[in-house]
Amino acid sequence: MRILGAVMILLSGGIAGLWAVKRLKARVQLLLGLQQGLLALEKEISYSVTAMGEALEKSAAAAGSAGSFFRRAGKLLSGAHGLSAEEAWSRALEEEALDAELRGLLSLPAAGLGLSDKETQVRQLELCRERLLAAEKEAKAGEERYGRLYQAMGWGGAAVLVLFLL
Amino acid sequence: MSAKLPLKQVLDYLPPSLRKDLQGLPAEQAALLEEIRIKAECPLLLRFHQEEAFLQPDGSLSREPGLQPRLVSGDELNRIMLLLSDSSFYALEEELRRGYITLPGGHRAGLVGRAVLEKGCIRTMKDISSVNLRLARPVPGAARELLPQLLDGQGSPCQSLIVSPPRAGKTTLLRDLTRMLSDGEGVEALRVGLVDERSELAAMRKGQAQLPVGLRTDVLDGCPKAEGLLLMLRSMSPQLLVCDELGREEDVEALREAARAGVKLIASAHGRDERELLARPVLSRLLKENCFERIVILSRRLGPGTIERVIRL
Repeated sequence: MRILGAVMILLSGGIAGLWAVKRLKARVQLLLGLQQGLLALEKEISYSVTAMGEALEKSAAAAGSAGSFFRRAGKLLSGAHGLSAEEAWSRALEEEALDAELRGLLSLPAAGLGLSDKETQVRQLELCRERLLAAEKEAKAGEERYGRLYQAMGWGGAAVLVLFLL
Repeated sequence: MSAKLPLKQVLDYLPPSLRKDLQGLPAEQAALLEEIRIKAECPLLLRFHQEEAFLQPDGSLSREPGLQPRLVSGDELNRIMLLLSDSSFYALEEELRRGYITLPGGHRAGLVGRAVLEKGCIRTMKDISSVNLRLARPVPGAARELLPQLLDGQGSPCQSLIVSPPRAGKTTLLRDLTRMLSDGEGVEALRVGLVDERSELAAMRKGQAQLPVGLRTDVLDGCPKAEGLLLMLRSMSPQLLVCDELGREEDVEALREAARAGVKLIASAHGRDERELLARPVLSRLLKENCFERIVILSRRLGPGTIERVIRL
């Protein structure tokens, strides 16, 4: 029984460490996906001159697993909600499960969304994308720095606990 | 068509705060409504068939703005622009350059604001300050009385010029003539090439005519007439060409080319009568060269579309 318990504690520690690493990786993927979505949106606006609702839905596809925000904004705008692009974007942001930093970054293009000419619109989205890129680099650095540490802490912490209990 | 349908179609482009004020307009007034003129921080002005009125805060109309008229706020004007552009202002470069957006139903939103110039020409507009929603009301059957007078002995259309002063119904008449000739109403159906330089005849929107111009009508939208007539001849093998507002020097050669190709033309021109036509050098030359077989003079004497006379040449 003791051995079984020890194994379970070790496994739990290991899983906890892996989960922490996975979260770090997921944040990097999310930031990458959001950038890809914004880039797609810029292209839809500057080259295809697609209407905003449709452009947002197309950007959702480009954003992959991070596409839910764009999809929601596109649906809110295209639906009979009577919302402006800014309002649809802001509401989609509120509904999305994002941390404060990301929410702040993504709220940047909202002001005047859909009301500017092509160049201004694309520039606003570009600025947001640049900041997301900076956040992605930071997240990657964090993943490299802490990834192994969390894994080691997971296993190591569990091992210490087992020794302590035994 | 219900009298209120044009108004209903246009109300979709107003924010709820303005929409509710206009929804209560009685049907008989809605039937006469021609324009809704909107300017930021100014009273909302409605133009009817023969008069205009300001909207009051209680939804009533009055000839004078009054002490506390219903003002359109800057926010409301922004909201109108968002609705007109589908929150995609950047997609309206061509429309802003021309100064209008064609809406479903053939209605038109005229826009003015601050022009952005490039090499001396308007590239786009920003800071829109005024919007004029013009309601379209096609009149199917408007040309029923006129068409037989424009046919020759074989039942084919003659080369015709419709002349009228402003707002006397020449565009409405020309549109219905196009429709009847294209659909074969009272005549053998023809392939019609319509060069719609000012987008008023067919009111094209995303490749679809918003106003009835006939099943066999090909529309070249927003193209200068002279170039458009020649392109239409080369590409669509029309049996009849139609265009609005003839009168420039370059139009002459295009007409001659059409005549050489054996294709008849029906066009319109500004003027009150034959004397005014002869005073315009280009039209005078066309008349002297016997380019037209019929001249139709319109007026507003008994309402728009009054046919004063049809001159056979």
